[in-house]
Amino acid sequence: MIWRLIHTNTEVIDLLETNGITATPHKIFEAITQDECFNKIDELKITYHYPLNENGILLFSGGTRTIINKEKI
Amino acid sequence: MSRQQFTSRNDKGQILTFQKSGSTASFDPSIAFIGGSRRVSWRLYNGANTTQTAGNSITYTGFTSDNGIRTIEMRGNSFKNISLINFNTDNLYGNLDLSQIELSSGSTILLFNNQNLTGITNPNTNSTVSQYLAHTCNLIGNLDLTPLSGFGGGFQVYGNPLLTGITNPSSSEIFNFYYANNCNLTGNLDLTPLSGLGGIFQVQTNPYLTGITNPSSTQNFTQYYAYSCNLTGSLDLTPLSGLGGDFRVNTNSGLTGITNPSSSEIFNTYYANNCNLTGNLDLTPLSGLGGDFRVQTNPLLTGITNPSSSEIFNIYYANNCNLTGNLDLTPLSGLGGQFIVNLNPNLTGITHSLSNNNFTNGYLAYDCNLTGTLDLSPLTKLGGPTSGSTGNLVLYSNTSLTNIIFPTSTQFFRNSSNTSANSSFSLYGCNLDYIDFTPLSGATMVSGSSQGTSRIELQNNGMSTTDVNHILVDFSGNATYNPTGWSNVNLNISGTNGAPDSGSGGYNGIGARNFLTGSPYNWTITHT
Repeated sequence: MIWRLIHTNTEVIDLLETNGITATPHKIFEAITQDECFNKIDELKITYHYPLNENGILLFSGGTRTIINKEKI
Repeated sequence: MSRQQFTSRNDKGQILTFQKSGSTASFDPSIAFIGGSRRVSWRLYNGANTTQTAGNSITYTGFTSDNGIRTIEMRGNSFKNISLINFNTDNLYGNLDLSQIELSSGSTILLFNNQNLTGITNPNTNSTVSQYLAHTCNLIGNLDLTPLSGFGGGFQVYGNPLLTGITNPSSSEIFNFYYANNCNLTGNLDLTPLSGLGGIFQVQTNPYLTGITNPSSTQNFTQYYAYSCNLTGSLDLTPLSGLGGDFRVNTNSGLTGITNPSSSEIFNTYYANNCNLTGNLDLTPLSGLGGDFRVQTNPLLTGITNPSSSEIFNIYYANNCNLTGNLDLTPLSGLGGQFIVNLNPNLTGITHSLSNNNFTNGYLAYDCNLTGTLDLSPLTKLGGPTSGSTGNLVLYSNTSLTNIIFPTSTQFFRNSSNTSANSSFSLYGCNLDYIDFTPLSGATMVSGSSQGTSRIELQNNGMSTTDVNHILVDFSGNATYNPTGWSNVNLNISGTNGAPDSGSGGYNGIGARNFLTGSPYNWTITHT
């Protein structure tokens, strides 16, 4: 299983752990760990909402991450 | 007619004595009589001076800087035919004895906002009382209302944190409201003497209230709140033939049953969630049930018998229960909005009848035991009606679910968030074979700035290569037919499913994949 970040440089299409094949017109970044994919999102400064649990979201924006309450979005 | 006025030189008449405590810049008690020209006078002492003043409504500033407990005397020739006692927000102290008062018909008693008022001795009267307001005081123990046999209209005693009981009088007067919430009512509240009870009834947030004995009343209720109490056993609502409106008995952890009345009133809210409802909940007597219906988190609730109702539902929550077997929703022709029944591990089926209402906030039945085919074809408005008002379908982890029949739909679907579990179609971890997405060819998969590209999650269904090929070919047909609705989709059909190929079952899965991931459709597809 590998972590695969599918993105457009400005948008995350998917971040998944898979051993499948992905066909996409977008860009693919593969890594051993999820954190490497997170770092890539930071590097690209993409805005991305990654749900942590029922109420929390890890918000990527401009190269930084913030944990926020879902209701605040 | 001679003018009647009690004076200090006249030792006839009656004296009402009561106390205040704490300073108040505006001590302004008032009283009114019906008919005639009766007046009262007041004797006030603030620790330094004694003041005597006449008038049925007075404002006395002598207590502005006087914190002491003082005795006030209200004097009059007669306390008959009093239509108003208004002592609200006057720093009343201790017990107020009104037993010598003789009320006129339709009288009003206003004693609210007296934080040191600990008791009320009520006048003995057959006259009707139209309002009795003693909220946000400090009434202690039991409030005996039995002297008020004409009790009705409006009653408020909420916010008396030490009030442990109310003894209601035998009265057939009609109530517009009855508020006794946020007190400390303890044990059972016997409402049987109040045959005219109706309107707004609120006794919520009485953490020691274990029961309510309802009166036999035909009055319509617009609110019945008894949530966040300690109701125990079964709540018998059958005497309330006019029950409807906004009904809430949620968060009573000892409430094991509700016996609903035969009522045709419209319900816009029915909350019985987070209780301990046990066995079956029979809703069939409620032909006007609709709106916002919540019975989630009743871990021993095994069934719901729904009423025949054409009312529109915007919420139907029955998740985190123990619904067992089939949930028959066919009597509800107005189902829509948000439908959530997930986490019922023994729920094997859901049956629907035709509904033309939008499911704008999702249809969630994941982590159940749905078995065989789930027929959603009667739900013609599954999904949302516009690109700004969308829905989704979440059925993952139903390991015996083999098929889904979709409605013919032109609705809009979007992830609720950009994860597998909250996808536009979250159908992974079931036992699905081929499922036919072509009835949804007129639908639109909507992307969202935070929700991401619309996702269809079909991984880990143990599908054959033929089934995977067939689904991919169907998707390519949908995209061809409706490129606006079926472009920019993120499909996961990997895991335990077979890998697509170019010919199994007579379907060219690889060709369809390449078609979908190319321009102008721009799908992302992850497969085995």
